[in-house]
Amino acid sequence: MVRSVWRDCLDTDVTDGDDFFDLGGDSATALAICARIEAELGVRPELRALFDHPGFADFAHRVDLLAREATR
Amino acid sequence: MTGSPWLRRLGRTEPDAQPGVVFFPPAGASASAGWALATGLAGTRAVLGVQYPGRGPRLREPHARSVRAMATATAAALAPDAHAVVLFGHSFGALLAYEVARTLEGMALPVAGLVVCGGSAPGRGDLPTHPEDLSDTALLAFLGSRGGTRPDLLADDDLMRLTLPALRADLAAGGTYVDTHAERTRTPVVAIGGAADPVVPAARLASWEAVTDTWWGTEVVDGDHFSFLTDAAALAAVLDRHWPTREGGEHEPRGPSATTPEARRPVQTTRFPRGE
Repeated sequence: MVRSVWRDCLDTDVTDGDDFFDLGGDSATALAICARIEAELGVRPELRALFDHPGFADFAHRVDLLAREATR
Repeated sequence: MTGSPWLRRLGRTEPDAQPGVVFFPPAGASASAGWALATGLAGTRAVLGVQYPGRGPRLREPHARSVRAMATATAAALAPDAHAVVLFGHSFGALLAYEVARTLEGMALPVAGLVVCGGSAPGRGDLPTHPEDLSDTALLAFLGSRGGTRPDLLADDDLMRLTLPALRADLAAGGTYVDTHAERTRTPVVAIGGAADPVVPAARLASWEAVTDTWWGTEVVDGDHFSFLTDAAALAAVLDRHWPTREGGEHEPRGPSATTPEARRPVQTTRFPRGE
């Protein structure tokens, strides 16, 4: 799910090793990604989490943890 | 050249035609502000963006304290390929690009050229410097009045909490920058801007003539403060006219006299008379 959000917002294919900033991500993209994840998963990652963890695999893992915490 | 945190490759292609472009973003912005330009120039020139600390991928780092400190670090990162790049700085970024050009010249590694955009030469007071101009409220008004930042981004508290400190640091650095170079630079300089720029009137672009021995004039397009950041074709025309590309080889700048009509793109080209 997180991958398809990145793909849509960044308009490019995304692999685990990709970096948000190397794919052209900026503030507007970051906000769009966080809002889409909130809409689909009901948890909103902090903007800062994306800036601090710009690697796709790392960010997706954090979203996964966030979603699991929310359902506990 | 991209091993440094100060430089990021922008765009998804890696053309090797020279000279490439090094983009210096305006106050508060990240290298990513040049992504649209890089995409627009795709296949013609490599574009590097200067990534200032304290934002974007360098959010955890402290802000730089001065233009000179930023210039020293950026110049060191650019030094290996300085001859093969044109520096393109917007507003605050124009001041920094100028200081980087001077720093590299001082290292006997001059860049191919300098394009300054949407800003006056050092010491003309474009940027707010008074402490009361740097409150959160004042900075939000500053961003709003310049245009170029989407209203929904301006209204996002989380984003502004991350952005305003960077903007404040850049304005403080730019506002206290003093050009201490006694001699004019030998680097060719072109100043560009929007005819309807409400922030920096186009006539002020000519102030850059005083800093260089190699003044290549002013070029103005229809548009506002941010036109050259969104219109890659207009920038490409300026670059092609003055610094035509060569595949991986040495390049010889042609200067403003030898122009290629097909490369002309700006709606309006104005050259201010010398010695104005």
